[in-house]
Amino acid sequence: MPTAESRSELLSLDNVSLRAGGRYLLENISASASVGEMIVLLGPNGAGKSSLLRLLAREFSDYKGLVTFSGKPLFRWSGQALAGRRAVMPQHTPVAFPFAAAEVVALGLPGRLSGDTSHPAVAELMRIFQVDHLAWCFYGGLSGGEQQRVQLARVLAQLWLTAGPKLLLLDECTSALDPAQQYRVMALLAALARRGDFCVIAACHDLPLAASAATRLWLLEHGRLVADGHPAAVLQPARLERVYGIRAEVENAERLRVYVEGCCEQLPELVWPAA
Amino acid sequence: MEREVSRPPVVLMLSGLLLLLLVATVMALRVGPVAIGSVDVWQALWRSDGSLQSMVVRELRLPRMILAALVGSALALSGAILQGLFRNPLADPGLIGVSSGAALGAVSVIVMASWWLNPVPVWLLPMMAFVGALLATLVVWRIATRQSATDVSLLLLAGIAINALVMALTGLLVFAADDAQLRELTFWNLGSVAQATAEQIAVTLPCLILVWLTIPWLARPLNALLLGEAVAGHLGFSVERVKRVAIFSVALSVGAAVSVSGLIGFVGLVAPHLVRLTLGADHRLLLPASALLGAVLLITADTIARTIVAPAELPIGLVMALMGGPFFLFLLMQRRR
Repeated sequence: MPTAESRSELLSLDNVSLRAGGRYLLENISASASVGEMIVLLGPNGAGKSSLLRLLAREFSDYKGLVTFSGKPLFRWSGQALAGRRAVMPQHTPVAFPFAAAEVVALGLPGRLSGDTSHPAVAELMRIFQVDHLAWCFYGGLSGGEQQRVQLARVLAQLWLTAGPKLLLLDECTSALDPAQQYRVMALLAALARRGDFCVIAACHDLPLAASAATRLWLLEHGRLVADGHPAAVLQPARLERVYGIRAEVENAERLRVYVEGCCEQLPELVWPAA
Repeated sequence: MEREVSRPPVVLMLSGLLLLLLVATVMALRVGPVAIGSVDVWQALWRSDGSLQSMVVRELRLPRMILAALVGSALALSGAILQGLFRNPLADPGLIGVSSGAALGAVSVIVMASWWLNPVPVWLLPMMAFVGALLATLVVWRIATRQSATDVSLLLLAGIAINALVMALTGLLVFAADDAQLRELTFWNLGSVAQATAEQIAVTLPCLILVWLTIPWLARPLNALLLGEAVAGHLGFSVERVKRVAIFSVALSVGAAVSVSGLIGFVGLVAPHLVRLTLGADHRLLLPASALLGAVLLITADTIARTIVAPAELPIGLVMALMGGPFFLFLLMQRRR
């Protein structure tokens, strides 16, 4: 079991707002996250999931409010110190030049080790994400799902040598995976959080998948955090209908089953130019 | 079936490159209107005995060969850095206007400096070439890069615009130039290392040493940049500083190269590409290996330039364009597939 100290708060947001182009991308968000937690970010398209993750990854500097990471305001951290403590996986990571998959993973290794394909972390992480057989294939030639798992290995390589609390920010890291891999990857991330030194925050669209792995859900709507809590508490039919416009039936709090309907009844008439 | 990547042993490839460099230098010193044996070349390098052969080696071929090597490595290295910075293998200092910017700086000194300054200080020409290269790089950079990626078409179009502008301004300067300056201008536009002198080497070398010193610092961040600027930032690199150092290095080496040799294209395109094909895209290897291969390429091109129509000689820029033009077309065809 994690000790009381390692359970302590790793990340906190106090009244955080982000504006761009005259509208709020994020509005008055207050929340906190601790090591040992696997938090899944939910919300319709454009709700602000990516914006929130990018803000936590320190890609924006013009936000209002205070973000604290490991007891220190986020903007006070040096780039290198931060890179040793938190890793980020964006939605898309195109690689412009002919790198092998193992070389991409090795680029994630910290500092002087960067690019060292013979480091044991590279083989181990590729094995964990079941891409070890693709190690010396060109990254550009891999399927979308394989590329995504290579990126997961790359992101974790960054924290391989870090002792102490670590933060993992993942933006739709399972979007290209087949169902088996989706559940496998999410379970792996949850297991990582359970180890007690990781805090995982992952954006996702698949409600049952999220419920299967998360210890906590953050539900975003129009840039506001409208629910924060245990999956069973957050995923309530009335709330899902309001936020997503779907009728969902929640069969079991622990093993959530979502039947989705109500989103295909009022389709626009497809008026096609005459052939 | 997926393609397997095989990376040959680094030591083997680097020693292979050094061997190539050795062969190219020996050929460059031996071959020419006066054929000189290897033994005589060796002796001439160590002491001058006043013979024609030792004079040809020491005063004509050696400075020329060294200058070709320096210019070749400078252009290839700046090509490799630019390609990493723009995340695009088609960025060549000649194609995207960086060399032209440097040439404009140099040409305006040749024609206009004597109107106000007498004598013209020797450092003015390389300095203006550097300033021209820096301005051109910054302009292309501003035009072609969005937050996360470089638009290839914008990159090449910006290059076309800058090249055209420079050609027009050089054309205007031609009107104002006298006969001696006119000859110098022509030499500039075609590219040549024929007038290599010890002074030119003394101007180029310190600039290049400064750029070489940035290689170990630039290699890892350039690797990270290939995953995108945001990811490079997440990995802890200070992206803005990396970009500044990279652009400055490119301007310095292109400025130094152009101020002594004029416009020589395609070295920056061909050398890094060949290295990537064999050694991979890791900048820790790519940067030094491209510099070595660029030196080999330009020494060889110069040897060809001065022997193929002997006793006359072709401008080296022409030889590089004849070899590099088809290579560039080949690269473009490959991208279509």
